Amino acid sequence: MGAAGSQLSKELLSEYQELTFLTKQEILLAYKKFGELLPKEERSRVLSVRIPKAKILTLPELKANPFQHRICHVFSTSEYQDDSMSFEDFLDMLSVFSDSATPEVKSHYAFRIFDFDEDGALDTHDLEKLVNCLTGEAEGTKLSESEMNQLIQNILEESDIDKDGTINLSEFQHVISRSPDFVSSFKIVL
Amino acid sequence: MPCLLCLSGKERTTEQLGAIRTPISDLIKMNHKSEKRQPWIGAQRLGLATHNPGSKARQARASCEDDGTPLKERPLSLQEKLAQRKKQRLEGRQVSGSESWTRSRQLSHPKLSQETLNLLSACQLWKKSLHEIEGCFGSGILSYFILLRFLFFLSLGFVPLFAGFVFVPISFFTRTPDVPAVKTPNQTLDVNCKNFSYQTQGGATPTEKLFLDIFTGEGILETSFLFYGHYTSMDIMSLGYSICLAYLLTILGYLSLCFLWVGRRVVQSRIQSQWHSKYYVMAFSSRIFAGWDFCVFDLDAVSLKQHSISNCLKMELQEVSRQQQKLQQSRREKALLSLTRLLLNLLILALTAAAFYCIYLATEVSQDFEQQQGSSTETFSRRLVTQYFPPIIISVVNFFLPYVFGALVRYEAYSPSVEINLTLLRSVLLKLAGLGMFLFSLGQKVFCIGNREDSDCLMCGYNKLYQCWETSIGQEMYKMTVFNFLSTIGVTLLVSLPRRLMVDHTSWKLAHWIGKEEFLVPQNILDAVYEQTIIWIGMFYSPLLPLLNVVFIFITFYVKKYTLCHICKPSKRMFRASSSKFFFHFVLFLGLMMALYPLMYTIANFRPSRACGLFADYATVWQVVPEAISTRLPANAQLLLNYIGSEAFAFPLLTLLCLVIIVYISQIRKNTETIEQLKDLIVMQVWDKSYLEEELSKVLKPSGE
Repeated sequence: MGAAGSQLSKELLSEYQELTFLTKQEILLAYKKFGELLPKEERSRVLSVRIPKAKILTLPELKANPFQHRICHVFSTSEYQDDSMSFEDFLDMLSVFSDSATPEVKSHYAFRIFDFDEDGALDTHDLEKLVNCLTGEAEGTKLSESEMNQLIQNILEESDIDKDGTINLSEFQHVISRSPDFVSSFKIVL
Repeated sequence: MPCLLCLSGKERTTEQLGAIRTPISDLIKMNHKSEKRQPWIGAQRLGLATHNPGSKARQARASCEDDGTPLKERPLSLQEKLAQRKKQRLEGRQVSGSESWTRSRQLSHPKLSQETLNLLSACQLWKKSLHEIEGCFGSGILSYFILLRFLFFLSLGFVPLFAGFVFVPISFFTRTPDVPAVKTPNQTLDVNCKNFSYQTQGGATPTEKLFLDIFTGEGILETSFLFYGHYTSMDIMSLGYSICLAYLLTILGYLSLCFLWVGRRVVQSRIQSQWHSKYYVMAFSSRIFAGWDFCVFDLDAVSLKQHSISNCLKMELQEVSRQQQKLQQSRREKALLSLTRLLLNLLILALTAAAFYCIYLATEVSQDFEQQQGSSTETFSRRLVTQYFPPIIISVVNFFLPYVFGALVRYEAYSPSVEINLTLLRSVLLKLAGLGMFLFSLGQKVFCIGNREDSDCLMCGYNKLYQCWETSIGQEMYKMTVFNFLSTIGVTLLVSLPRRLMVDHTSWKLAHWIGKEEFLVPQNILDAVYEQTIIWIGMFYSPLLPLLNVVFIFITFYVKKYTLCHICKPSKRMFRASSSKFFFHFVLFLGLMMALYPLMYTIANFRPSRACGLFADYATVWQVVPEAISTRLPANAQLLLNYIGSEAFAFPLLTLLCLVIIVYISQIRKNTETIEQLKDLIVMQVWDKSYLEEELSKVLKPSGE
């Protein structure tokens, strides 16, 4: 790790280890990767600098992801709402997407990523956007309007337990708990 | 006042309803036209939230403020976690001595386990390759490679066991008896059953001979550690260690460990796939909410993934409308369909029977040939081909019939997903039954099953043409393993690679029509399971087969990885790891059972060959165990073991197991009932809430105006 690794003090490292699901190696790797995104003159202040969203999205792990903007937005704690990320935000993201994160934490953040208008419930518009992200916007893959309507109707029929026309967090987690693939697929490893 | 409705999650329970009411009324007073479905903005206006967008998790925050979950499991940002920790530390000063001790122990315990986990993860095999595959192709294809790794370790686990208990003692501690044992109780029996000599191949050059030996397991290999026949009963009784017992118990112990391990995985995946049963059909929801593989980072893979999701959704939507159509089908159409299905099933049965007959014939021909080999002077290639006749026929059958099944199933008018599963199921049955057929015809040759009065069989208890029949069976399994491995590599190099090159570098229409090969996960997994089954069957007769398998799997991993990354294109059909996990583990389990049953049967019932091997002096292999019990264990232990083996113990055990099952079944019933009631309760509560909401607004409206 060399010079970059030495800046992360032992206490901070163990603190991060305790508060995230990451191992020591993963934190150090994240530190290194985060430092590499910074311009040379700022590399000494990794812990205090924020990286703009555009830079974060150049990471190969996020570059191709259709949910990249949502992920940045959800994990950013920027005061100016510009979706920039500090090192701690970055760690936070990796922690949630790590192998050992609990399904509860994972599903909680998945819900927030899928909740495009951030109203605390997935309504038909959220679902439509979500499906479009999954299938892509290209001509051949995008679902037709009738297919989309039928699909959303089916989804609501299946998972909207209290029949209020939206899917809330607990309903969402209910579905997730019945989708064993989720834990292994909701994962980003550096 | 829609904000009440959109408060999500745990807040929707009744106890929190009261707590919510106050801010709601405040909200109404402040802003009658409160924002539709935007509680965050509403809350911000109220000054309830800071300007920090990280506070989107506010709702969850309230509920997990202090319920004992570790900080890292709470959905907070790291900043907030650090702040909370500081707060906890300040409070922690008042914690009493014993509590602080347990707390520090709780803290140190995960640290320790984490350190060991760190160490373990450092030496994980193929970690980087697996990560690469996952990134390019997603978790579905990954599951095949993970299975390969599992099988690799499963075989590897046998190596130290066998080396420790059998191999090392036999090579270092045995001494050949000074005086050869003089035992001449039955001259004719000895002449007939103990005239075993290693076959010598006539009429071949030394290189050809070596080549032939390696591929058929004869000659040098026949007398090597690879096969049962090598392990002769040189006892080291002076040390009180019986090699016979060790040999038998090591293999049986390993197989029962496999049984437990595979069984555990079957149960685990069963629990997972249970959610796919009819009570919890959430096909669309889980496909949408858990459909995206966040680990995929390759751009091409992303668009491929989007394609497959889109195809899959369209397919299922069609299926739904098809099902609705099906309900309106006339009786005549239904009858016609049933008839077609019946006829097609009969056709498939006939095809399978024909295939089995071919396997039977091939075994017959190859075995007859082997027995006459001493006298005949066949050419080298002909000898090799005849030796490999059964594996070739089995592979050909397993290669072509699934395609036929796949073509036929289209006429049965099932839905696409059922179609795929049905074809798979038929292929599995064909594969395992084909192997079973091969074993049966081998057994018929060796033990004259069905023709016990045969003159060759009467004398020794087995066919006297097979002087060392264990080694012969070991050789067959060895040939099967080698052939499977060679065919994997051969198909890759001679079929897949040229096909890919043709598609890429030529402009022939035919080549483009054929297209690139698809990497079919289910077929590959079935192949791996099939090979493992052969290893399980053969390991008693050829104890180094697992070691061979370790090497083969290691190479196969890289060959398959190369095939996947450079030759094939991933299948368009989405392969969901979890839903099929149970199926594949079940097939693995079935393979294990299929290996165990004949092995147990032969161990318990058939006379081991008199000419070679550790068990030459026993009537059956299993006899070693009762003998050891009666001579070595103290009387009390013998009594106990006899009791465990008797019906007096089996009956209460059976009753107990039945009782346990009954308890579980009734619990399941009760639970499903409770789930239904809880669902009703949720709906009722929402009604309650909306009623209260209406009432509240009625009360508040006049006062506001």
